[in-house]
Amino acid sequence: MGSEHEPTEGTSSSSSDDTAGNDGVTVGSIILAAIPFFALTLGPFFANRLEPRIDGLPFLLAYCVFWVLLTPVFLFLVDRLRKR
Amino acid sequence: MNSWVALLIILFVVVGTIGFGIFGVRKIKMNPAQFILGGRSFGVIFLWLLSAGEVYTSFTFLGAAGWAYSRGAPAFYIICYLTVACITIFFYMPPVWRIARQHGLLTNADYFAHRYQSRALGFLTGLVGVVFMIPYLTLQLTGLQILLQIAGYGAIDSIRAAGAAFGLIICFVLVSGLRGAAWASLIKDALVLAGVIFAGIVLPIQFFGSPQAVISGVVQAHPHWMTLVGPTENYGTLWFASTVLLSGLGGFIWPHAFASQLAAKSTDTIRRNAMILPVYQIMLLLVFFAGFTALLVKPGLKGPDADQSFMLVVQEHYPAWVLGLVASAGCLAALVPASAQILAAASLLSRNLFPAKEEQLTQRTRLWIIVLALLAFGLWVYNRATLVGLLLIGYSGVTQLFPGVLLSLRKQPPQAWSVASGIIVALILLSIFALQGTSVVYGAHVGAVALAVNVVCLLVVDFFIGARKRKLSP
Repeated sequence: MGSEHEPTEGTSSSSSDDTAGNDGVTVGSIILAAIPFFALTLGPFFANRLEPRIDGLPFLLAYCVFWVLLTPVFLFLVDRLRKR
Repeated sequence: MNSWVALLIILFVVVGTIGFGIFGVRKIKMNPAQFILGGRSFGVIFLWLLSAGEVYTSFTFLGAAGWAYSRGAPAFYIICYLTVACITIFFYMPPVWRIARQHGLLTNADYFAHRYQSRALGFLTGLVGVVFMIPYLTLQLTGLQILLQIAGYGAIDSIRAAGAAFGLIICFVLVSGLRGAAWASLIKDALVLAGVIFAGIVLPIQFFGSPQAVISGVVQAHPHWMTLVGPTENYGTLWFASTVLLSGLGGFIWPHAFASQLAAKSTDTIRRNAMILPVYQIMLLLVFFAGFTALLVKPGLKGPDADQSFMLVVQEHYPAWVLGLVASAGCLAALVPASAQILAAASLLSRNLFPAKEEQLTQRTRLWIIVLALLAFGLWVYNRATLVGLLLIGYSGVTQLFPGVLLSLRKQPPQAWSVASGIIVALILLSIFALQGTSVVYGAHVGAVALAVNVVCLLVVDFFIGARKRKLSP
């Protein structure tokens, strides 16, 4: 990569892969991220139920919340994969 | 008497937040990149505050409760789509950020113009951003008006009061730029969190004993409220899936959301923010509880009035100072995102539609902020019908830029004209549907249908005109 012309002042230094262009996106990391992606988009086709209720929440809502909370875990694993 | 207590609290909170924001930027020297993107220096916490601050607008605060009140289960799409948006930006935003930083790009239209080597495409995408940003901005005005009307117990002219609050925030953003908005988000997020905990936990406990009891109550009164209806009706499972997909892909294509990501200081910051932002969705769960509580306590609100549901419950059953605090959280949820939104729209005008010279850019952007503010307020007061129409297309319209962003990252991106034709065809299709009043086609969200047409059109056109593909500058 050529010279960086930095139009801003006072920008703090950033990690090395910002200039190297290394995102480390692999087939594995895409498959891993696709799990919560499709769980959330396609979920209602099979999770559209009231029972069983989970801690009082209707099943559909509990399903959504479950995957929302699990997404950070998946993204964390993708990030780990990337840095390897 | 009551009305003044609540309104004074709101005034105090709004002015205090603005003061805090200005205090936060007092030593910052403004140049365009500083004004529009906060100098691309936001770390994880600042970026999180800003993205959370922009995503959770008054529409989330009032609208999510309103959906839970008037529609039930379809409201759950809101927590799902924002999470899908986080998954997608984790992948496409770091390379976009890198290109933007290397070439000093400030807006999403800048990105299109640079990446596709086409000022025309930059103009088109900038125009799309501005046209749909104005109604989104006025949505905040409507939220503000509802809150001020309830907090004033009907004693004040809520349109003028909303105008005054809007004027204050415009002055604020003129001075402080994006960094000030991020500072203001700090107070906003804290107050909204407190307001949401009150509305989603305290309200249900006081009326029914526990949040779970509210769910049982709703299921008893409305057996189908917690599930999506069959595929033949609007808001069925296919609608849910297509809406989550559409809104998720487009979530960070909105000019202000795109800008917030460019303001990150590194690609790692973007990824970390994408990782933690979903957790914030749990707040919306509480907003749903607030809406369900209102459904049982104050049933019978129809149409747009449903958005007032839980605020009316607070107004009727709690002292004025509680109402004032909850309403001021809502007002900040309208004002802080509005400041970032108008800044993003103005920078599209000063960069892509009517390009200004670098040394005049900050001043020109400020000028456009004032013009946009007057335009938005005028339209809001005098011609709401147009706004409603634009808004119907808005969410779907902005997402039509997504294929262009994603495909720009390929080694051989499509031609500018292919991208433009896909966007134009999709927008024409959306306009036709909007004129017919159609929002669901074969059970799917029209925006998702338009997105599919967009991609097909893009690929077909590119197949023909892209025969002699030239390589873009690296």
